[in-house]
This record gives sequence, structure tokens and C-alpha cells, in this order.
Amino acid sequence: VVADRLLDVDDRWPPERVLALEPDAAAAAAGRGLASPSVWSSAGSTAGAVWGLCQGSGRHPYRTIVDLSGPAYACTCPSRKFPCKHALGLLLLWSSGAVTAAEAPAGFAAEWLARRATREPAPGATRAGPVADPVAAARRVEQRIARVTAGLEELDQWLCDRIRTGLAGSERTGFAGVEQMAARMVDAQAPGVAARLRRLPGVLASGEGWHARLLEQYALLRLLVRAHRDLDRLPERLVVAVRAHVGYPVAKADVLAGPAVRDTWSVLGLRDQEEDRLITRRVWLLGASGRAAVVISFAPPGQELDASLLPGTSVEASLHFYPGGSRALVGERHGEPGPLSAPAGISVPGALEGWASALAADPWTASHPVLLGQVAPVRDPAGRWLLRQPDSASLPLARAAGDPWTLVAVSAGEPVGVAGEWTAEGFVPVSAVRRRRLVAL
Amino acid sequence: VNQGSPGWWDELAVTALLGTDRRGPELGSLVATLPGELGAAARRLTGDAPGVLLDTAALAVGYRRGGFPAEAVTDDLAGPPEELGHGVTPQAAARLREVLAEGDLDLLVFWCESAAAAGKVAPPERLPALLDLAARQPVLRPAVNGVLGARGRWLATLNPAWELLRPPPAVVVGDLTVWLLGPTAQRVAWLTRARRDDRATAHEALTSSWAGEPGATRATLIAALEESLGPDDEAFLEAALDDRRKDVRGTAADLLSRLPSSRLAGRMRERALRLVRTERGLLRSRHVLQVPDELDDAAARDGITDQRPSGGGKDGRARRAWWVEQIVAATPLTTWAKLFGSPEAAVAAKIDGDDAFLIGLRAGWAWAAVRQRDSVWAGALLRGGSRLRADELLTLLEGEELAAGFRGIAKGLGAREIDTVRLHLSARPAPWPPELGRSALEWLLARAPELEPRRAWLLLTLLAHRLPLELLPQVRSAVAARSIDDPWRPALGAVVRTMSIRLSIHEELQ
Repeated sequence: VVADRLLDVDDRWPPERVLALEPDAAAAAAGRGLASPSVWSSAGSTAGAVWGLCQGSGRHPYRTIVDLSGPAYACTCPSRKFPCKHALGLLLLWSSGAVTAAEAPAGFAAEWLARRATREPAPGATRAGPVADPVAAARRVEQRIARVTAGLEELDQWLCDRIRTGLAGSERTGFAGVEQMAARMVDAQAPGVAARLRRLPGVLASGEGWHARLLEQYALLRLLVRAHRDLDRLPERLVVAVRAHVGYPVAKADVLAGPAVRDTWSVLGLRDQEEDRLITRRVWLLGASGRAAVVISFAPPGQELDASLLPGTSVEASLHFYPGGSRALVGERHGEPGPLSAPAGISVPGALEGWASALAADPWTASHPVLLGQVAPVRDPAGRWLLRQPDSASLPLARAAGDPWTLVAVSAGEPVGVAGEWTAEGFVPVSAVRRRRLVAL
Repeated sequence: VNQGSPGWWDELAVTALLGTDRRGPELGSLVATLPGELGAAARRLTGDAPGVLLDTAALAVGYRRGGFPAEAVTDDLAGPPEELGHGVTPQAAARLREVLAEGDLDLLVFWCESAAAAGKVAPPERLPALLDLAARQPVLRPAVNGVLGARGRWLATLNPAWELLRPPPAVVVGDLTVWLLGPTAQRVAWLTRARRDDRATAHEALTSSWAGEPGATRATLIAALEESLGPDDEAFLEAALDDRRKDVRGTAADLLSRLPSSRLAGRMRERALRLVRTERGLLRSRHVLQVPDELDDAAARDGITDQRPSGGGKDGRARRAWWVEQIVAATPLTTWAKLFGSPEAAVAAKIDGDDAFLIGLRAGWAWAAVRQRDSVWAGALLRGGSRLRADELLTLLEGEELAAGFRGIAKGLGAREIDTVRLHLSARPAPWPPELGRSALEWLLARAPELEPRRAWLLLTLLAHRLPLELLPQVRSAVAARSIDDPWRPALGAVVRTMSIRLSIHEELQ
């Protein structure tokens, strides 16, 4: 019994790990308020799950269940947050050791847990199944290429017309034609091109110098058209990039079936962004080997996002990279996340070299994940912010990132590690690393 | 990115802007000017003009992005001086993050004050949020100032939006240039400081420049004498009663009335004693309040006005009641203690007279207690149930005296006047002495049967934030004493939750 209890203690998560599931601090505070034994009844836990009944304001208590392997949550409360405050409170209670261990889940929890167990295979276990009809599949691929090619030729004509009559015309007529062209690209099964087109109105409205920025975007589209035209003559890595930016689908299963890169990955940042009624979560990772990765997940607002990578921790895991870039999926994990291992940053010239190589492999790439090892934010006489390393080599911050006050406060003139993305508009900082501690910016 | 773009790129962009229909012919010569490998590649391009332009631009984008050079920046950000405060634990830092995200300003103030009391400073990454909040909300400034530390004060100097959080420039009393040439705000700071450190110099500076100061400046400067007011200010203030400007005269009279030994106070005492006549009877004496129909010019010189600054009745009765209030408010309170025996006796005394004048008398006592910072009178007035200037009087009391004062004004207030009680209590900033907390809690619990918890919500929130933490067990047992379906159980439970958070904040910062 004593051994069991010890084991039990070891398996519980520390409260920091529970709270990290909820990036919204206000909700975390609400959860803390419910981490009291008096509000819970029939609470219990096994190695893989925690459950309990929480007396809310209604007549019936809420049934709250957490599957620790995901983690995944189920709660009968009306909240659309994942995890809701009840799940968070229950986990905190469990974390503090106040939930009794049970042999098997309680009745109300057992069904949901069983359903999850059958539905969700472990990550990394998915493999591309055998193709049902290889001939039909090949024909579908042929058809898709033909459709994309036809669509891109139309796009090329459209681009050339814009340049012939002049970009000034776009300013006068607005962007009615762009949406039409984007819709055409969706029909032509080139969703990546459609997404690029839909970003153009923003460029038009970007203030002084818009015409040069618009020309850059048109030029990159034209480059995509031409590259697609010559696809059979391009080296393999460029083919991969072209296909990705046109929007040929890449099955998750195929990525996970690809080679695994096992490393100790430091989780350097997490950012959620709402775009087209979809929350995109980006998590920046840096391996002990120096390889950077970005794990991207999506969910509609109110749905749970992947919360398994906690900024400020390190985890040993196998990553599977999408072809030709830094985007990756997490495959098998080897052990629990631990404290942040000292990630080695790179210098400003090193970051620019990496960016140049990334562009050579993929000229359409928009951003490059980087951990600058030793930089301090400084302001030049024109009021522009830069990240400067002690030997004075510097990179400008992207203007859209705003004044980097939190970074200034953390650094206070001393060099710190800064994780973020280098983009064509400048550096976008995401986190600062000082004395092995990560600070979200 | 930001380093300006080469001329050939600008040319290319302008050509695209105007269109190759108009600028096509120039494209060839432009491509000829492109540098190095970019030029060589561009010159190999073939096709119609728009295509060549787009392909050239595509090459240029790769050339410029891939070849982005690091800048060499010599600018430096001189860091802050050495931090003297201690950092907080990760738990306390996480708590601050939650409190900020929730936007609970009362808890934020509590966090800051607890941290400052323990000699700790806010974690660097929260300083911008704290500065933003304090810049917008003046009430937060003292608390936030206490946890900024050297780093936070340094940070405030970098952003104009945080100007109000910057430490004021140091005042050097020996340096008279600030007084002679500085803007009014700095002159006031100099004067205030000098009056504390070197009174003679301050007095000399003020009197020598006084006659030449513009009216508005005189008004600002004389108001600055309130701090460290002393009997040696009397001569200056007495002279200012004859100033050309009305607000200067008013301030002078107000300040003189805070000096019980001043000649003005003596004149007021005479006026006051003419108002209250004592008729000695066989068994007991009788007090009668009588107010003249006219006041002489001397009274006007001493600052007595005919109408309240806030307006109010102009008829004879209202005017005379206002005279009573002003005269009594400027009269040393010892006058009344002598006349009636004690403050309590004065408050309880049966005095004959017009009701409006009697209210004026009581209002005058309350005002005088505030001006003379007399806690004995404050206690006597509040215990007698008077709510005139009650908020200011409560600030003069401590401990059991304060609790008794609160009970005095609250005993006559029923459940329907809960907002009045709340406003009186909210005038008293934290920390509350336990006696006040206990009395406030008892008042609410006694009236709970007639109240719906949602009507008490604001008072409950106030109690949750201001009750001293040592009363937590009492609130807990008040919750435990209620049955499960009693609506007061969750309402009081919310108070327990907030107090528990405060307790955790306090413990995390030790």
C-alpha cells in the first residue's frame, strides 16, 4: 500500500503543469477557486483519468472527466472553454493529492473514457493504409495536376494584366477582382494560392510603399506559377516547396510515417491566433541539436487545442517534419516533460545564414524560427527597435510587433535569449530566455 | 527591411505602379543596371514586358531577402541602477499574472502592498502591464510605485505613456534657481520640501517674491502651506486675508482656522460664544442658539461667506445656518468642551434654537474636528450617531475607537440603507483594524434576514477585500452555520474565497 501511494504521488502532475493547460490566467484563477474538496463529490482517479461531480449553481452537479493521456476533457457544464474551470479545478485538486485513487473509473466516467480509448489511436501509430485502387488514385492525381495547371495559367494572365495596366489601378478599383481570382484558385484545387491572394487587400492598405510590397507578392505568385510549370525539371526539395505552397494536401499520416527526428526539444513559445474563424496555435521548439521546429494545430474557437507542449519545459520526443520546412508533428514521446534545458541560441549572422538557406530551399517561406542567444533590445535615434548582440550586429524588430516593453523590462540592457521568427518585415519576438527561465512576450 | 531600398528596386516598383503599357520601354535599361548575379540572371529573361518585370521582381525579392545584412548598431540602452528589492517566488509571480489577467484591481493593490511590505519588487515581465494600469488609474499609483523597484522606475523613463510614474525630479533646497525660475509645479515641490528642511529659507523665499506673483500662482502657493502648517505661518496668512484674490483669502482663512492659537481662531471663538448663550437656572442651565441677522465686515474678512460653495438656499435662514457652520468650524473645539463639560456632553446637550441652525452647529463641530484632526471629537460625534462628514471623521480614528464610531452611525441604518453603510466603509482604505471588520460583519449578518444577497453584493465585495485576514475563521463559520439551500451560503462563500486568495498572496510573499 505504501509503495502504491508513493507511485501515486509520483504520477500526479505538479500544479504548474495543470495551470499551463489554461493559457488564460483568468480562467486559471477560476479553476483554483474550485480546487477545494468541499465542492466535489464522488471524485476519484486512476493512472489515466480523473473524474468528479461538482456542485454548481444548478440542481444537478456537473460531471467532469479528464483523460490524462491527451489530456482531453468532458464536462456537462455549459462552458465552451477547454479545459473548463471545473476540469481545471478537479486537476488542481488531484494535483494536491486530495483525490482518492480508485481501481476503475466511476460509472459516469467509464463510458466516455472507454469511447475515447477505442476512437483515438496513440499518436504516431497512424500509418497510411494500403491504397485501395492504385490505378484510380493515380488518375485522381493526374486530374488534380491538370486542374491546378489550368488555374495557374489563368492566374498568370491575371497577374500580367495587372502589371501591364499598372498597380495604381488596383488602388482605384480596390480588390473586387482578387476575391474572384481566389475563388477560382479554390476551384482549381490550389488553396495555398487562394490564401495568398486573400492576403493582398491587407498589403494594399499597408500605407506608404504599398506598391513595392504588392509587387513582391505578385512576384512570388508569378514565381510559383513558373515553378509549377517546370515542376518535372526542379530539384526534389523545390518540388516539395512548390507543392506545399500551391496547397497539394499532405496527409498527417504520411508525415508521421516519415523519418523521426528524436531529440530533447525545448518548448520556447506558444501563440494562438484567430484567423478565418479558426484558432491557429503555433508552438516553437528547439532541439538540443540546434534544429528548430514549429508545431501548428487548429481548432474552432471554444474547442480544445493541443496543450501537450508547455512553454518553458523540455521534452524528449520524436518529431516528424513536413517536407522542406520547419513545420513538424509530434510523434512518439520518450518520457515526461522536464524543466527547460539550456537551449543554445545562435548569433545574428547565424540567424541570417539560416534564413538564406531556408529561402534557397523554399523562396516562398515567410518566416524562420530562431533563438538568438545573446541580444538586448535597443532603440536607434529614429525610434526603431532592434535586437543587438554585444558585438553590435543587430536585427530590426518587425514594426507590427509594437514596442517590445516586456522584452526591455526582462533584458534591462543585458543580453538575453530571444526566441521568435525572422520574417521579411523584421524579427517577431515570442519569448525571452533568461537564466533558463522562459518569459512569454 | 527598414534600411531603405536600393534605387533599382524603387524603379522597378514604380514601373509596376504605372504599368508596362506606359513604362515598358524603360524596362530594358532598368534591367541593365541591376547588380551582379541578379543582373546577369535578369538579363537572361525573355518574354513580354509584364512577364519580364514580374520575373525580375521575383529574382530581386530572393536576392534582397536572402542577402539581408545584419546592421551594426552603436546605440545602447543604459540599464537601470542596481536593484535593491528582492524578487518574488514563482508562485507569487504566477499569482500576479492571474490577478492582472482577471483585472481585479483590489487584489492587485493587495498584492503590491503585501510585496512592498516584504521588501519585494514585481517580476520584470509584469512591469509593463503594471505601468500601463497605473498610468491610466491614479488610485493604483502609490501601490504600483511600491513594487516598481529600480528596474520599473528605469522602464518608466523610456516610454512617454508612463511619464506619470517617473520619480519626480529631486528637490535641492539649497538651489534657489528652481524657486526663482522653475514651473509652478516644481516651485511647489521646492517650497514643500524647503518648509520641512529649512523653514527660514522657505519663509524668506515666499515672502520676498509674494507681492510679485500672479494671482493664480499665489493661490497655488498658499495652498501648498497646508503641509507642515505651523504657528509661525500665522503672520503671513493673516496678511493674506487682505489679498486681492478671493481664493487666496479663502485659503488663508481656512489654514488659519486650523491653528487654534491664531488670532483668527480667537476672533471666531468670540463670535461662536455670542451664538450660544447659557441661561443658568436654579436646577440646571439652559443653552440657547441665537444667530444675528447681519454679520460685520470683520467676519467677511475672516472668510465667512453668505452662500455655500456648493450652492444651496439663499434665503435668510439658510444663509444664517451657513454662518453658524463656518464660525463653529473655525473655532477651537476646546471652547465647547469648556462650555459643555466634555465633547460627549456637547454632543448630547439639549440646545434650544432653530433646527436649521442646530444642524449648522453640528456640521460646524464635525468640520472643526476634521480641520483640527481631533479624534476625541470625531469619536464623540460619530458615537452620537451624526453622519455629517462621517467619512472624514472615520479617518481620524483607529482600532476600537474607529469600530465604535462606525457602530454609532450604522446602528440607526437598516437593511434598506445598505449602500449608505457601504459608502461609509469604502471611505476607509485597507488595512482595516479587526475591530472595524468585526463590527461591519456583524452589521451585515444582523440584517441578512431582511436582505437578498444580490442587494448586498457590493458590500460583500468590499468586505472580501478589506476585512482583515484574521477574521477569515469567523467568515468561514458564518458560512458553515448556513444550510445548503440558504442563498447567503454561496454569497458568504465568495467572501471566503476572495479572502483565501488574499491569504495565499500574503503567504506567497513572505
